[in-house]
Amino acid sequence: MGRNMKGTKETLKEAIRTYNDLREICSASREAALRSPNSPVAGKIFSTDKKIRKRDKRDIINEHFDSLQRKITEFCILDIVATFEKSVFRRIGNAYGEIKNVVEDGYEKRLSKREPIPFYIASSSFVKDREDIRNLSGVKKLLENKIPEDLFEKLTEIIEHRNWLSHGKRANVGKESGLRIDEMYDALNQIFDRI
Amino acid sequence: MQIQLTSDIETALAEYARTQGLPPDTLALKALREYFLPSPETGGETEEKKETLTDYPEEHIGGISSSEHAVKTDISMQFRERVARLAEKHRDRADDTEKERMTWIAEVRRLYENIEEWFGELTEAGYMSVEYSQLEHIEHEDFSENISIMELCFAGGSRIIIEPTGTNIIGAFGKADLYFRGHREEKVLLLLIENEDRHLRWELWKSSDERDKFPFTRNTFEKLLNGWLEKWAEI
Repeated sequence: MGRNMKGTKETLKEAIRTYNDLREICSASREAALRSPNSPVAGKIFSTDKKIRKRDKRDIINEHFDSLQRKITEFCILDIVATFEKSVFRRIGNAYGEIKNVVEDGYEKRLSKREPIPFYIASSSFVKDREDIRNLSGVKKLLENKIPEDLFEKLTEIIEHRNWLSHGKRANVGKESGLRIDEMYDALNQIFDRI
Repeated sequence: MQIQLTSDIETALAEYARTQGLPPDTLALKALREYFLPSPETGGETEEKKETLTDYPEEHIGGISSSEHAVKTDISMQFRERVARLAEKHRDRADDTEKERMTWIAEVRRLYENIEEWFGELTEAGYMSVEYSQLEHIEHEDFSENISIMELCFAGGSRIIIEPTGTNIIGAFGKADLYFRGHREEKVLLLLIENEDRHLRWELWKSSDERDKFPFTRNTFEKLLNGWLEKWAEI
């Protein structure tokens, strides 16, 4: 279990490391393009549109990399949340097996010859498994009032933001969060430490 | 085609057929023909007078029982009321959405006017200029032609961008991204926050930490820009 926990935290760390690497690559490429705006690589950035050609090349390069940066952040948020979800569900699977055994054993001990205990034969069905929880909103419900309120609010924001991104930033599906990617990572990491 | 009649309709049909001296089958066929194949002279009248098949047999074959009729009328009333309530509710929602859109446009304009006023001296002296560009539709769900991106242009090509991203944001009425062109990864947020008394104000958020949240004033903005120009314009 301990090794598994370390493994899941490591995958989350890997996801934020990927973000930082991409961010640095983007920044270095921008610097390179600014240094040599007439190089063939930088030339690929410029559109043939006459209106755009009239604009300052420096500004076009910066705008291009700002747009890339936005995409990198969005992809990495999706990646971090997906990594978190995958690891959480792996943990739910492990927890289900253990809790089920505890419930069955503990309930069995209450059996007496004088009177039966209710639903003894189906006690394990009272334990939630992956099929009952299904998605991150299910995990959130499970954690309500079990983790600090501010952390719970951040989890809610992260799920909303993920939904907003993955459904094409539509107005009625999810909402944008003002949390930065590093704040999201910290919050998910803290939740990992508690579950 | 075979039609299975309910027992009450069958009884009523038989009773009425007896009084008319006709076989029940013939009467039923006659009634259906009159309803679905009205003659040109009576067609309009029939259609106007008879709204449903439920109404029709009431006159021709003795009608359904009064209690059943009352239940059907009641359900019909409930249905109509529900449809009307639904329409009202969505009309209110549409009004709210439009009101929200207008408020958002007005508040972004107010923000831009304030900033132009704060830097009026510098623009008049020719040290900087203000430009506006179009929001990209593809990036903004609640895109509006009435909202632009504001760009503060300094010498040497340095630009500060204020990009209103919309009102679909958690914990605020609306949001604009504020960043130094080429360094979007270090953007800060301009959030339009609604007070308990429904008064709106702009706040500058560097992160979600309370210590990183400031009212958006000339002072806080200039302090931020000072830092950015020092770092990226190397001055």
